[in-house]
Amino acid sequence: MKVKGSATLAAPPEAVFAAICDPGALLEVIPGCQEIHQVSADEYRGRIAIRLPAVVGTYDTVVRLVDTDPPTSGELEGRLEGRVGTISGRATFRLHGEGEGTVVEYDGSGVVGGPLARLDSRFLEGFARSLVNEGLARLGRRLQAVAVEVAGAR
Amino acid sequence: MSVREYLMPRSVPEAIGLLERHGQDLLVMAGGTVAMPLINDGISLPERVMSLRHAGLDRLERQGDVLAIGAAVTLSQLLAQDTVPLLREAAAHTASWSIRNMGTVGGNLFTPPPGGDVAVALLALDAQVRLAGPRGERVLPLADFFTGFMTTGLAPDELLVEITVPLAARDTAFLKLGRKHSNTPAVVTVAVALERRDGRVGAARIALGAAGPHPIRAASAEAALTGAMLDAAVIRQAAQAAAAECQPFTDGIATEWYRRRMVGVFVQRALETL
Repeated sequence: MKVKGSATLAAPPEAVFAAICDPGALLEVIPGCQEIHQVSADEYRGRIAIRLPAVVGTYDTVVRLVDTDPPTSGELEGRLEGRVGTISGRATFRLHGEGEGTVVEYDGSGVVGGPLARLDSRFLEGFARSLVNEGLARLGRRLQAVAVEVAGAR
Repeated sequence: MSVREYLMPRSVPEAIGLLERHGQDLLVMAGGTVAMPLINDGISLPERVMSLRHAGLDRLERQGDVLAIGAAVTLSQLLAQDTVPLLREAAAHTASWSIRNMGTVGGNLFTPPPGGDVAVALLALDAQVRLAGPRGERVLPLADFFTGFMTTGLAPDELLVEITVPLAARDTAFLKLGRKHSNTPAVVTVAVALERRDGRVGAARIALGAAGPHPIRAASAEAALTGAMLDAAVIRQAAQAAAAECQPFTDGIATEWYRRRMVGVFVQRALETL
C-alpha cells in the first residue's frame, strides 16, 4: 500500500512542523482519532476509529518520529492494530515554505497483515488517501484558525 | 464469521425501525456483492446484517416525468429497461452477469471507485436520491449525496430508498475504459448528457468515474460546453478542462497520470459521438 502526494497549507513551515508534533493538534487533525498521548520525546500512542462502511472498528495506534530535521523534514513509522488486522508503515514528509504558506510533500508505504490484507486494495488505498487528504485539510483549517487567533491577540 | 443475526425486513418502515434499534452495530446491504466478500474474508465483523432485498424497494417504473428506481432494483433490471438508454449502457458495462443479478442500483452508489459505474451515469442524468429515516423523508441531488471516499450525506439512521431520474430530452454517451473488454474495474468512466437549445448546447453534464474519491462532475468542462456550438475546438477545450480538473489516483489498475490522460481522451470521444 502506497500513499504519496503534496498539499499546500496557509502557515509557515515552523507552525506546520509544530502541529505535526503536538498531540493536541493531532487529536483534532487525524480523522477518527479518539485519543493520543505522547509517551516519550518521539513516540505517540493512541486509538483511531475507522469508519469505512463494513470495516468499522477501532485501532490501537503507535507512531514514532524516527528522524526529524525541524522544520524541513521528518520520518514517521507507525503501527495500527485492530480486530481484523494490522497496518505497519513508514512515511517521510518534507516541508518547504512558499510565500506565506508551506508545501507538504509526503510519501508513505504500509504493509497490511491479518484478514485486512485480503481487502481489495481499492478500499485500503482509497481510504488511506482519504484519511491523508482529510487530515491535511483539517490541519490547514486548524493552522488558519490559530493564525487568526494570534493575529487577534496582537 | 461474526454474524449472529440476519435481518430481512419486509417493508421500509420495518427496516428503519430495525436500523433505529440496532444503530451502528447493523451492517445494511442490498445485493451483498460488496459486503458479503468482506464478511466471508473476516474483514468485516458485524454482529447483525440487514438485507434490503425484500423490503419492497425493487420497483422500477416511470412516474410522470421521472424514472423511479427503487434502491434494491438490480443492475439486471436496469439492463432490461429502455426508458433511459444511458442507464442500460452503464449497467451493461458493470461487472458480470452474476454480479448484475445480485448487485443493486442503490448499492452501486456505495461502491468505492474504481467501481460504481452506474453511479457515474446517474450523476450525468442529474438524478436525485430519496432518503428515509425516523423523522421522515428527504430528497438530495445525487451530486450532493457524495461527500468523500465511501462517505455520503446519508445520516446514520437513514436508508437510501429510491433514485429518481428526470426524463428530459437529451443526448447521452457512456464510455468506460478498462484493462479488459468486460467485467473489469474502470481506468476511467465517462458519462455525458447534453440538452440542446437552437443548435447549441443548452445544459451540459459530464460525470467522471475513477477520477476522484467518488463520482464527480467536470464543472469546468461543462462550462466550456454550455451555450457553445458542439464543434471540434469546443470539444477539445472541454476535454482538456476535464483532464485538468479531475482528481484521479494511482492503484493496481492505472496510475494517476494515465487516468488523467484518459479522462481527456474519453471525454473527447464521448462528446464526438453526440
